[in-house]
Amino acid sequence: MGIWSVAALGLNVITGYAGQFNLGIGVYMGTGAYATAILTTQAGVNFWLALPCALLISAAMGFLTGLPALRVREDALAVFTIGLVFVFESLLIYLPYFGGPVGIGRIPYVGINGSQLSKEGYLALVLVALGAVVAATIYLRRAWMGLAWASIRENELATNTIGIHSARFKLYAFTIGATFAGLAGVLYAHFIHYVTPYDFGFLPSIYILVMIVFGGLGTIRGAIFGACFLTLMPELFRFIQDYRNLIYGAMLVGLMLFEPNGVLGDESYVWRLILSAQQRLNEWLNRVSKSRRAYSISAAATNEIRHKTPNSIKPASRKILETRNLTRRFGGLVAVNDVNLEVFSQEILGIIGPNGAGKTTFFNLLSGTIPCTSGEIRLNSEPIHRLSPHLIAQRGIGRTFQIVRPFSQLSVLDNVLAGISARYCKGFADSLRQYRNSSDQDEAHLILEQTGLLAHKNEVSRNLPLGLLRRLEIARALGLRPNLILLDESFSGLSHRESQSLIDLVRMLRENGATIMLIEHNMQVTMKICDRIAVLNYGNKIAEGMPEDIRNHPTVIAAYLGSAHHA
Amino acid sequence: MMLLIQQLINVVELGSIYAMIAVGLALTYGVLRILHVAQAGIYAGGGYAGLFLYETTGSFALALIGSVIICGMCGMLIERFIYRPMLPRPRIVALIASIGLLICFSDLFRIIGGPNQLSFDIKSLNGSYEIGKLLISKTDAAILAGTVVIFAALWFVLQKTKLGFAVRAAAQDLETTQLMGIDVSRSVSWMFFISSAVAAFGGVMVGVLYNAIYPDMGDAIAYKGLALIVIGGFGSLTGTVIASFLLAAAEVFMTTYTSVPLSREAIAMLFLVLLILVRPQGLLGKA
Amino acid sequence: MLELINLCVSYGRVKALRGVSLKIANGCIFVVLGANGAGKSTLLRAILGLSKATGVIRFDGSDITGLATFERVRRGIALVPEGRRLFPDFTVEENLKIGALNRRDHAAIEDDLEEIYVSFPRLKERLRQRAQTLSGGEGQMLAIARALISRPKLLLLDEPSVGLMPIAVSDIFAGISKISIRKGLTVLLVEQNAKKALDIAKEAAVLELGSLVIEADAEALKSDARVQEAYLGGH
Repeated sequence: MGIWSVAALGLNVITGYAGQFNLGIGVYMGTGAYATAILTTQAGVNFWLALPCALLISAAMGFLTGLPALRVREDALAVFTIGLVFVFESLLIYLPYFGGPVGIGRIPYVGINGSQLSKEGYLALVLVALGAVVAATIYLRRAWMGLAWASIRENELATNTIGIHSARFKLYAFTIGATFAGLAGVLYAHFIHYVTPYDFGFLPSIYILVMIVFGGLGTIRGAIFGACFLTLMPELFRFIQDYRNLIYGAMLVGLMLFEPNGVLGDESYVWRLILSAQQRLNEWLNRVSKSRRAYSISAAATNEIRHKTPNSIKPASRKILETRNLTRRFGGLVAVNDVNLEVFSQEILGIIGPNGAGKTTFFNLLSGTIPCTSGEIRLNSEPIHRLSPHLIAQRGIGRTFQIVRPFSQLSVLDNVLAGISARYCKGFADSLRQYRNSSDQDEAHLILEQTGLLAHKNEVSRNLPLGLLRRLEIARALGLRPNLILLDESFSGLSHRESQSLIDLVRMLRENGATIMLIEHNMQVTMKICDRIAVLNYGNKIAEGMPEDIRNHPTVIAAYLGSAHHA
Repeated sequence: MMLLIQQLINVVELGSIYAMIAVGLALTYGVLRILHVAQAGIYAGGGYAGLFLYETTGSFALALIGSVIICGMCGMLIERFIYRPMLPRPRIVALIASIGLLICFSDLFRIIGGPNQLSFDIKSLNGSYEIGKLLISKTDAAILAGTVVIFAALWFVLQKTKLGFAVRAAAQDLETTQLMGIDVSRSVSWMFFISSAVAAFGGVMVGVLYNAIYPDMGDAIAYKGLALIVIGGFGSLTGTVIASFLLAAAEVFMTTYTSVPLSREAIAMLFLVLLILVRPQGLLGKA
Repeated sequence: MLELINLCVSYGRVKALRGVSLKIANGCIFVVLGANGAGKSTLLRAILGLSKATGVIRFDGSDITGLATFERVRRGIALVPEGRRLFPDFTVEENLKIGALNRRDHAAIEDDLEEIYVSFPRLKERLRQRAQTLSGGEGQMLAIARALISRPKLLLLDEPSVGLMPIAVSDIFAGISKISIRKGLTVLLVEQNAKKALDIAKEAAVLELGSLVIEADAEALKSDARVQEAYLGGH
């Protein structure tokens, strides 16, 4: 059972955490198993030496299979992994080194210091391994790596715009998940003492997937519970053995219909029962005065953080962004046509224009979300138009989206921390650091305070009203201390009061040194808050200037209200 | 020469069987974006139903028609009660449920029909026809004829009927199809009926061709079917059909003329993996 | 022809429509103006049942609030969606035919098509071309034709001027006006481009943040300063 739990946890990392649906986990488990089998039987290598080798090989396998998986679409990914596992199984059967369909047998018992490990001893070994994997998983989840994975799972596009290179983290997930599965394979091999290709084919891979989905996708307790329950069940109910597949199948179907989050998943009926029972228990035991450490930021820490934010540069003189002949075509349609724009440091620049004028496309070009057809974009005189979104984000452009894209299942605090996380995502070692350490928490809290979200820091972002969600997107974008912030219709759908407080926030951001570009349809807001306004229509910039000039500009009025004459 | 002709016939037969399954999958995916793996279970079910009906009634025609209708209805039920409630959920949910269904079906057949191969021997199809110097077995001839009929019928429905029109529209834009006053749920139900019926037909054909009906017969083809729609390009029916015949050709010629030690599933999957690496959108898919 | 009573639509926490009530008479061209995010598209979607709404919707005398979308369409409502939503892989001809799928009177369909070609001659030239290849203006014409071919009693148009050159917009609005007068077709037009829309309309209303704030004769609204304010900021 322990062995299957380890494998399940491995898949959990890939599928549950990073959201990459892998239906062929058997590949990694089999790699580990066969590696150790070959090493110990044919090369006569000692188990303790074979173990790390096998793990390394599994990791490599995870990495190699992860690379092509990056290019594949969501639906195709599942099919691709199915294909992988079939090919793997066949290779094992037909290539000469692997012993053919009969597999490799007589895998030795594990020994320590010359004496063979008894059955109990082996169980202990497995439990130790399980413990190690659980610890590693928890550690990873609490590290920046885990936060990056959660972000990717929630919304990959937004993740890249806050500076996290999603491809790299997906690869990490594959590699680490594969290593865990490989470990399971090794333990399996030395438990059963022989391995055959059919042990790691498609059906076993599906069993493991069922385990984590059954137990609760994305949770450790789910993976372990699923593994244990499903391994134990046939033993306890002998008569089921005959109908095992039928029941598996029926269970899958039933589960997906009624409780797709798994038995112990976060939203499941059972888990909520457990949580509420736990809560009642706490109340009954009279723990009324739970010491909640009120989080207070010391004045010193605040000053220190404020010091680190970009200094106020002399306003209006420095050009922070420039686009030259920026053009974007979609087939025959020209969405953005030859736009030349200059943006000056610490100004609030509005981008307006009728529907379909190309405003959001323009922002997408600036943030790197889509490539430009021709022209260039320079940030602080450096060309950025060929860079990937995460690199552009790291260079200091943050953005929000027209349709809000928060990481909905994460708390408000975690969303903001995710925004900060890109700072640690440059190196593998960095991303392993636990993210709940104090200095980053301080900074996150400061951002929350600035954006007025401190009171909601622990709420799941999905439950927030729209006004707060828009602030959250801004808060998340502030994580990398961007010099330029792009706000895409952040005022849309807000009440008058919410708009007013958002205006205050935007002004405050500017005072702290940021430059702001905003796309808006709400003219009252735009006229109130912008220093300058540029107007787009049919992809062209048709006007640029101070708000009063724009308001009375005949071309602009014609663009919006239509004119009696043809243009 | 004779051998080549026989091989070609094999390719066409195998290709059409693959196409029958894969087309159903492609249709389902095109409209609902669901990978309907359980289609293979219906295919196997078709074989079993056909055998059962043949043994009870003694008429092959009745067996064929009955099996097709029963499986068609099963398909409709699956859509109505299992897939429809899952539409608002992420697509992996439907995929897992479909896999679960397939496993259920396979086991059900094992329990009801026994774990061993059953033989499906049609007396009237024994023997062969002579056309000039060519010898074609009656079974082959029947299958080829059946294939032509089915594909012609399918083409007709899709291109010339209101239902086909509605389905093709729904595959492009489900919501707007509703705006045309078309009852999309009903069209989807009928689409499931048709693709399940075609799959069942394939199952019966295969049973007769290889004279074998066994519980796992769906499994091999299920995942090949998936590979085929990916290779053909998601949502492209022509691409899927082409892919089916290409795969059949590859399998037949590789197993006859070369000694590559890969199983037939592996060949399909290998193609899949290689193709995705080179051209992630499939043969005729859109980028 | 159309009566909306206290229509409310919420997307999760966001209230897109707040208690909208209005009446549109037979044969009238009614224009709803408003900035982006005001709820214009939501209004049309609610009428057709694409978005869940509370309140009552009466069409041609009967209550259609509980009906499915396709049923409402079959009763005689047609929508020209925002962004056109043509079937990209179908030809112009097929896009037209699918609009008429529910009709049985083949001869009359042919007649209607001929009429449509008179108003939109460019479509006849491009019958066999795939809808994807049409220009913005042609695509909009096709979308309108597709809606018209079902012989609706009420035609809903969602921002038909978006992304179109001004000349094309004038052509299209002229076409809509002509057809409405000739056939007595009731039209509900939702638009950003106020001036041109108000030119062909009889009555109009302005939506702001999900609520109906002004409702008047189109003529009166044309010179109403409030409209200009609503678009280009005032206070």
